Amino acid sequence: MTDEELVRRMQRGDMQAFDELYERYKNDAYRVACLITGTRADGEDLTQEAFMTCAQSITSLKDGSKFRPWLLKTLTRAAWKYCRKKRRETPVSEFFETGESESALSAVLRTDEQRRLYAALDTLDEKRRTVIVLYYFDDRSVKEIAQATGVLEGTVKSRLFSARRHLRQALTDKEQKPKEAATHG
Amino acid sequence: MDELNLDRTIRETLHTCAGELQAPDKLKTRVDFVVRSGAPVPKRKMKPWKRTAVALCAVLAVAVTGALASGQVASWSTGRHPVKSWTDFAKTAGYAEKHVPDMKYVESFSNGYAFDKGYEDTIDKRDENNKTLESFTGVLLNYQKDGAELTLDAGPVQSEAVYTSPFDTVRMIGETEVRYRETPQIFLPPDGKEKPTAEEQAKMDAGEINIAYGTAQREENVFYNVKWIEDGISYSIYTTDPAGLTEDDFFQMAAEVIGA
Repeated sequence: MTDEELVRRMQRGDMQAFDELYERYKNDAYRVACLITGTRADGEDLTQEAFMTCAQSITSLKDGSKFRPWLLKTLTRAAWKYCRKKRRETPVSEFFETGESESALSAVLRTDEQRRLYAALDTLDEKRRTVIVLYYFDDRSVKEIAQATGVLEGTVKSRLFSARRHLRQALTDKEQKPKEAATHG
Repeated sequence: MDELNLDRTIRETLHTCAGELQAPDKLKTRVDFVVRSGAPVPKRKMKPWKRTAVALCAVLAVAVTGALASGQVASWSTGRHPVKSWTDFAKTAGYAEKHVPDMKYVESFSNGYAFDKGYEDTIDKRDENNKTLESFTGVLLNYQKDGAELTLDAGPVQSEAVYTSPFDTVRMIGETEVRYRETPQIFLPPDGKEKPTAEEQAKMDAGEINIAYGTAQREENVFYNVKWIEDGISYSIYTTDPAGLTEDDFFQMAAEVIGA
């Protein structure tokens, strides 16, 4: 059954259709939410919130075939607000959970390069981090990311460029340090 | 590091972190609970700015004028004036002095919230056929701190309104009675296609929640509001995103305006 048919059934009050849509997209939403927030615990909260919001406002979705991008749009906006709120309420030193936390995603990273890249990803603001996650993890195009995040394609390109520069810099700096040490030594 | 290598590293890192994650079973239980039980929507729900503005405007009907007392007035309709708005504090203050004489206000609060923008606020009193019976003018001052917003709203006291509620926390600041309340509220589209449930309507009738109309889709949040009346002017400081502000903080802000 297509998303469009499930959404139509849901709009008529059929909650089994909602269950099917949830099963279809729960992992996609959960993974993106975890990557944007940095922890599984926060990812759960945001996934719950996104599905709940979609369920409660399903009648406003005119094109049922767009359920997935609509869910992602709801999710990313909830994530941004969550990140801003968390930043206001959490000391900077505690904002990003480290690999020592069971809930932190970075705990599974084993190579130094990946750990450095993840650490750099953590220092991006939520909007640039979201673009990176949707582009590289969810394989969304610039146009699709623009639709999901409610900004112009040029803004997505700009955020993508800026984020990639930041990540490259983080990796390059570390790569060069031993050379510099050798030069000065 | 070349471009291809960077792309590969980013992609691999993200997929290593989350590619195999599975949404836990307990998450479905949580989602079912909130979706099927009608439990309140968490406060941190994200709303696009335009819809938030509409929501806040709708709230003003209750925030400024309180509940309806009696008489012909069946509803209040309010909106921020699209043209009569100012980013300059002095211009806002000048407008306030002319249209809401003796209104008190501050440029910033001691907790860091600072003036961002001022608006004229026109409120219509409407009968049951939605015909405007009378209009009056108030002034809104928007304040911001770290992206969080709150509003100081002031306008002439209206005889048709009730400004108190049994759910208020009441404190005296000098000789002024100041009331604070956190009110759950529901916003519905104005086309009438979606109606409150019988339970929600009963709570509305009992004064436990607010129901307002004017959003693109159903929304729920909590309205944090401290209010008082002084020299014929009703004041309200409110937000739907308290960003850590406590009840004491709201009373403190009221004290700063009263002392202005």
